[in-house]
Amino acid sequence: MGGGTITWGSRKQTSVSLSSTESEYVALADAAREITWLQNLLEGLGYKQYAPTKLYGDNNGALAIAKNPQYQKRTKHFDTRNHYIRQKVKESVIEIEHCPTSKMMADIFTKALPKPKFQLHRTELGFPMPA
Amino acid sequence: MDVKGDYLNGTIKEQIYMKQPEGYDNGTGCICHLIKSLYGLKQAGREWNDELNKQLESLGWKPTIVDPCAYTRRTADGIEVVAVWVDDLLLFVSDTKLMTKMKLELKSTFEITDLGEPAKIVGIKIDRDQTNRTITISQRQYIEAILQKETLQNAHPVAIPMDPNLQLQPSEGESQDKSNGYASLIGSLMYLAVATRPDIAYAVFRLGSYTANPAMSHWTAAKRVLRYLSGTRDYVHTELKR
Repeated sequence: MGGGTITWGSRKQTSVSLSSTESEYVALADAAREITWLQNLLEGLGYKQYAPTKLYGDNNGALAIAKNPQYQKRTKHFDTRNHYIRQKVKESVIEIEHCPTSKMMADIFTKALPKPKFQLHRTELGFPMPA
Repeated sequence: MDVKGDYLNGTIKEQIYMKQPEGYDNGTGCICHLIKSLYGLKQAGREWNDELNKQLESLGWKPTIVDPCAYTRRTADGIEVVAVWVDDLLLFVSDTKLMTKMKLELKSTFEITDLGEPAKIVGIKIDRDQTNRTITISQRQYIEAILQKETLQNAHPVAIPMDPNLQLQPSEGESQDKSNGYASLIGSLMYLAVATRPDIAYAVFRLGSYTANPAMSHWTAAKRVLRYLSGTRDYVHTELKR
């Protein structure tokens, strides 16, 4: 927000997923909850939200499911709570965009990265090299 | 701002009696009936918050729905925000002119020490750079305290908190370490990760799943995080830039 990192988290998924797309979808829904909270906080502080908040994901499958509410055989088992993201996309509260894996800064929260990537994402998180 | 004698401000609803305290005994053997709250009472914390809440609301502040510790008040001149941490208040205004008035108002309600520009809250150091319009938060002291506790003050620094090729296995057999220094170390690191150091979040949360029964390999990995911190203790997290 305003170019700074405001909130972050890293936790183990609580449910079992049958595909990587499902995992990514669970993560999107999780992020959507955090976004809703932040939007409410900002509105409470007097900053009305006029534009949808952007949410980036690097899994095209998950993004497609979130954008398109059609029924699909392969997603029939998805937990209903995770379709929260669909609702928010439909309400234009969240806008979903693709981001290539190489630029996915949230990777610093999901895996132990090798040095160059780690340092790149750390800078993006708001840690410039100290003077 | 800091409220003096915070817990003494609360009024208790229950009937509580106590012996006369040492040094204040008037020799009559009378028993005191408490009207106001005291430190150490079970209800002290809650009563204080109730009292603060009541006073702020009577001054026109309303808690925000998502965070009951953040109060807002809107007037024609702008918006005023009070963030509460027990007895520490952080004040924000949209217009500096509002600040003086707001402070006077609060001072007439509570006995308050004005600490000026906030320098530290809940152990997090805050630095504001007005020219570059940035706010940075850091916990150098906290990092150093952890390093000292583990006697790693002069540890050889490493560039990244976790080896990308590291395979961690749950340890076999019963837990050896009954005191569980590992859990307390992970706890300290977790506070760091949540407060100002998102860069160690992944490593800490992964090591956190072995707190019940840590093996040597988990200790080694945890110490690596410390060695990483030792080399990056001067890193500050830039929160806002406009």
